[in-house]
Amino acid sequence: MELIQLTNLRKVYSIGGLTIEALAGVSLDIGAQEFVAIMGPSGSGKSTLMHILGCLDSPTSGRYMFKGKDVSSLRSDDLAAVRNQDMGFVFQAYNLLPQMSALENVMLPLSYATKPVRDGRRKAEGLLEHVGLKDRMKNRPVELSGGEQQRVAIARSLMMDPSIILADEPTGNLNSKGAREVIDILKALHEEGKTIIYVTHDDNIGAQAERVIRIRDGLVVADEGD
Amino acid sequence: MDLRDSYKNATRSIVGARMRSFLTMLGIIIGIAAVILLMAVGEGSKRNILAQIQGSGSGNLYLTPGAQSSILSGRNSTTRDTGAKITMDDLKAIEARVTYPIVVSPANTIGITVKRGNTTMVGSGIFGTETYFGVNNLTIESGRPIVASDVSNRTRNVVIGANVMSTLFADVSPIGELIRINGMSFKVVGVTASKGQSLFGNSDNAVILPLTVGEKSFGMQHDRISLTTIKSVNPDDSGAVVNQITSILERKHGKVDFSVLDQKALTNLFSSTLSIFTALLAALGGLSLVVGGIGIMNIMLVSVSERTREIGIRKALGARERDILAQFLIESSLLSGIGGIIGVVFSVLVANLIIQRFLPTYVTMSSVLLAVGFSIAVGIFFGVYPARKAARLRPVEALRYE
Repeated sequence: MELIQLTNLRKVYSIGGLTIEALAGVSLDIGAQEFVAIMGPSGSGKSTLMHILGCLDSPTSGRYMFKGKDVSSLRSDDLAAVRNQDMGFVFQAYNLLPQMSALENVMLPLSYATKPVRDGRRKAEGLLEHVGLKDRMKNRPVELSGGEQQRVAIARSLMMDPSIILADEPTGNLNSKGAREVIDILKALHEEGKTIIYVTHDDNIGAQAERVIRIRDGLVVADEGD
Repeated sequence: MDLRDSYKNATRSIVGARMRSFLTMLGIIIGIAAVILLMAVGEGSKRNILAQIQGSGSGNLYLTPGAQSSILSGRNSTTRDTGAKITMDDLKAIEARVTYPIVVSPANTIGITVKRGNTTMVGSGIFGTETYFGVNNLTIESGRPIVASDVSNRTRNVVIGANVMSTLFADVSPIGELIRINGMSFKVVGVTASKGQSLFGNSDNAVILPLTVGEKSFGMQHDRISLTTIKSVNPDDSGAVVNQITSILERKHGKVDFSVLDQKALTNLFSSTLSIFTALLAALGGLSLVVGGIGIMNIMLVSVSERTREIGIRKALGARERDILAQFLIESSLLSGIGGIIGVVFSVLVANLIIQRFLPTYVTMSSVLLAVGFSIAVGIFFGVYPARKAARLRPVEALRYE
């Protein structure tokens, strides 16, 4: 059984009387342990697709089966539980809470855990160590470089042992060194057996994935594996 | 979300914006202080007056002209033009017909100017009889009281209060000395011991003159007694004495154009009036608490829009609507709760260290609980709208917010 099955997924926005079809009928399957890049020009609908995959948004129509369960029509609290348990997010702008230390940021998902996590603090420390930030745990985001912040965000995304890591332009704000580090970590996580989906418009970054899905005008225009 | 984490988060964001939090709390602090201090003053004066009633002598009854007791409207009231009056003849009838042992003490009071040499003071002139002292628990410090012959002979002998003596007679003994009251000459025959403020004024600032002098020299209306104190020698009889006086005067006047209050009726009269007064004061204070609450709502709305992105991040990490709701409600109730506690400490200190010097104050536990409870309720009530607004943000939109 596939991890993700999308059937004819549509997302329509109306802004000031103007209707915009961000997704015009997307069908695709993504299996467990895949390493997928979603690519496309800006406005192509790739971010909308990412948001729906991450249960941050709901489709207007169509069906989204996640782990064999239809999540397209779940209530907001149930979606929150899915995000907490199964989705690890990495954002372009890192999205760390500025008032908290790196360690507290990594531990934040525990606050909303629906099932107890043992030794959460030790686990968070281990994750930070894993992304090479052992000595930066007490630092706040402003005291970290962009690359370091994104590594904290990756550690946070792993906190609840999610089924998928969803990364939205994870290297978009980074210099080439930081971008390489982040991609290397994502690759390493994939090799450990994680499912990773990331959005990018950068061909070089996209080429790192094993499978590239190209989106244009709300439709899948190419889906190529290695 | 764990409750301890929630409080930690809320404290962090309150401390993170210290100045803003303080200014927001200031609204609550002032509101709480207003409630507690106004209630303390209300309660203080209530207790003070009730204590004076208790101290005014048990078994005392107060007879005033007019169906509504004029005691509350001021002790100096001569009867208004209702024609209602109490005369010496009425009092004689009471003395003759009441079957319980009583002492009747008629008195009229006016404001006077007392002068000796170059020293002048303003006080009250009480026109009474030889019974005035016993009925009002006044003791003579030196000299003698007003006696029956002073009243019948209309002598110009007076007894002065302790403050009058210390003001006018700093150096010499006042007994036998002359003073001028409203320009007329009187001889001091006695001084009363200090008694302080009582229900019907401060006898320390008073000069007691023979009742009959009032009419002759001070232009008071003929044969009208504004306040008669009747002491029931056995306090247990006072209820029965009230009934007898009522029926005697009702038959004599043909209607009830007077009022007789015993200590219990007086206590009830005052405490119900004063309770309304205290409640009004509390409501005034409550208004400022509501204003403080609006301040909290305002700042929470600012906080929600400033932290839209944070809300988006928390939602992405699995926060449910109720988690976000709780986060902002805890923050607003913590703001108002801390403000409330500061307000309580502040107002208890102010009440006991400062206002106490000028006004009788009494901080009741119930006013403190009321104020703190109300402030937390205000924090929750005015926090709900911003918190719901935050909780209902859609995660995608919140994350997109710059």
